[in-house]
Amino acid sequence: MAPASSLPDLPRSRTHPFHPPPEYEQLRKESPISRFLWPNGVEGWLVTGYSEVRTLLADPRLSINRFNSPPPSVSVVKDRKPEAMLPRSLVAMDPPEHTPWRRAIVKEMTPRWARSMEPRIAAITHEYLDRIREAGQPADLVTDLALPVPSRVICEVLGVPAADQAFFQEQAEVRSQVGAPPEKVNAATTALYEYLGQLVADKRRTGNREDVLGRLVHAEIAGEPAPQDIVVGQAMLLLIAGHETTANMIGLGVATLMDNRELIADLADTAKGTALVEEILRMHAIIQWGIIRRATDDIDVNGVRIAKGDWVVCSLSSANRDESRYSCPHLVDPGQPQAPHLTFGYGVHQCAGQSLARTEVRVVLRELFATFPELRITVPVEELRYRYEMWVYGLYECPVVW
Amino acid sequence: MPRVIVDENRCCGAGLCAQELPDVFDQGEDAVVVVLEENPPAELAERLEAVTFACPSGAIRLVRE
Repeated sequence: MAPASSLPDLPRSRTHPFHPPPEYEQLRKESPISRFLWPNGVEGWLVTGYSEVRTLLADPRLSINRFNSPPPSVSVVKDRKPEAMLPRSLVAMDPPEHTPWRRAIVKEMTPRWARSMEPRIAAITHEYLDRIREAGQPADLVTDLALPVPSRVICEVLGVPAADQAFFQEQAEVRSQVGAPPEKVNAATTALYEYLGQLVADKRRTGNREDVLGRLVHAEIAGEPAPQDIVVGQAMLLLIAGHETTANMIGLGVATLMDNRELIADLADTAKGTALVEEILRMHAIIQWGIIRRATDDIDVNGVRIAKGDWVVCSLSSANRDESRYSCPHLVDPGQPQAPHLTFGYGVHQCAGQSLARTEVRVVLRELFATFPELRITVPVEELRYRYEMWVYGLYECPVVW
Repeated sequence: MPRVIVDENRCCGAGLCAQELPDVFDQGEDAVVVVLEENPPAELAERLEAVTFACPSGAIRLVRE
């Protein structure tokens, strides 16, 4: 048994659903890189300052590689096997292995391509808005709009049959629960892995190069044919990250706009709508427990020595509220000088789908409020059910009338 | 005005530069950055600084001679 830690417990209670734990403010001011004990008994560094998070996420001495011992975690589930969470993918690879895979994927998702997707995203959005209108009031925007639209979009992009949406949404939801028992997580992972394995094998067999997974399975990576098991790992990452995060951001965006109704008009204008969405993204860094790295060497940063082997957890939500960067850190203010937020991370692992996500959030919110200008949530936003117990923060439901 | 220098090996293809300043940057093969205008006009100075700061891989440098 390990000796008891003398470190303080990680602060992790929110006092408002839109804001990170209040202790982070003092940490940013006094010790933006400090050691804590995580609920699973593992010690690590919590990084809360904007410039410290940026500096460390850009440091090649911090590895994202699949870890051979349990990282600091808010999950206290016994026998959780982090390596069972996902097959190998971008989020388990360091450069130089990471570089050719990253390129093969990001070339499919450039900002220019995301802009070209706008009409298709709007059309899909209207399909679901029509259903909402037909079904009548009230509606739950999470199940009726925020979840299915990004899910349909990523299906079309990757080349996954839309008919299987319900199946993978269900598996992804299990995997997102902090408290899910390991056997359930493993079963969901295996089910997804087998499903995508079949799909990818079919694309290879039929020579299908019409969608992202079809092109990826036929790609050469660093001069070699792409190994099928890694293509399946990448497929799982893109499928899960491609709908769950965006879905939660849309829900939180609607809730945020309820208290800032004067900003809804901004959505009609592309430039203003883009700035508003950046503020919504800054307010809600939904990877709520931060992103984890491990030091492969000693790192001296701001007078702190991070030792080789130490865990480092970068809090994106805290960095986004850094008082030294934002004049109104806790308010949605598209007019304030825009230090780029860190919701998509930073460094070579910055979100590969960020341009698609930005476009989806803006188009879905724009079409929603253009269709239902009087839309309102039926309870005060503080009383909605928030996903405190999930890896990806957001709303469980968003009941609305119009 | 600064000269724009990029490191194609560092670039991770986010494309934020090409989106913000399409007359200066583009994305070529494998989404890697391409410089279209090595000596951009002075009025872009502020936006060039912003793009350089935002670049997630630190692939852009502004050199003042």
